[in-house]
Amino acid sequence: MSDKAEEWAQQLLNKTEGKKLEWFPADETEFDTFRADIGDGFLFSIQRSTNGIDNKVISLQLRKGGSIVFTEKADNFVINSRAVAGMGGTPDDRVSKFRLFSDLFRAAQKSAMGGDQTIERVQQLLERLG
Amino acid sequence: MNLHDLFDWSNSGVGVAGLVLTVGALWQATGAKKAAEEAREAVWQRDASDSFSELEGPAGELVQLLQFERRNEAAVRVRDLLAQIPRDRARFERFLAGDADKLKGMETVFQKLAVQLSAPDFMERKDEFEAAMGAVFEANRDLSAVYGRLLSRLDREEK
Repeated sequence: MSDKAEEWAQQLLNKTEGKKLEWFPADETEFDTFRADIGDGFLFSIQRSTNGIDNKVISLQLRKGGSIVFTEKADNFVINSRAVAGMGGTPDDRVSKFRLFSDLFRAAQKSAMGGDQTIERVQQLLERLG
Repeated sequence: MNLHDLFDWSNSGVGVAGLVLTVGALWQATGAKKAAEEAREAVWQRDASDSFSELEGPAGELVQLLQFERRNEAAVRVRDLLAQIPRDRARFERFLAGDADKLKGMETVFQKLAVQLSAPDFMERKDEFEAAMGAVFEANRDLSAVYGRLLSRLDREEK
């Protein structure tokens, strides 16, 4: 499933960057989870949680209705190559998976928050206040 | 031949033998000094390549820490490199020739990265972060090339 998840993550990233897929904050008060509706009741969500100083876990979930169809995670915990080998996959595999998930999270965040457009719009609104 | 002549001849012989011995000793001393200098130079070059070999480890780790977005650990690694590279560059400058300027360029890249890493949201700014990673990849490639040239010179001189 991991390979499929990475394949989907790459497709989601391409479509988000190509502005063909829109993401929304999953919660009005939290800005670390975003969701995208792909139709037919299927919904992707991506969440980034930060633990401690540098530890990050990024989870990609596919849901249908209220159920979770699958979850795939990428983390930046282990950088020792021997420990990585024990966890399966090479250090390069883990790095590329983490980079892909991190890029997708940022693209989703930018899509949901509006990125530069939001900053520009807020600037215009502030200027209008005089 | 009277006794006086015999003394003269033997004195001359002793003088010539002394001169020969002195010249021989001087020649040997010069050779020994040259050998000692060559040995010292070889040790110095070995030290230079060892020092640059020690730099390769933290520089490689820095790349991985950046790719894994471990900002605080990357900041520590950059500070280590910023302490080591100028020290080794100054110490081994005469072996490095044009590579000393390359090392100065790397110091500039790492200095800039150290400043960038001090901003908590640096890794959230995708374009800036990717540009910094690209610059660090390039600096690492240059560092490996400097190390490779030092090793190649060492190999040539050991043959």
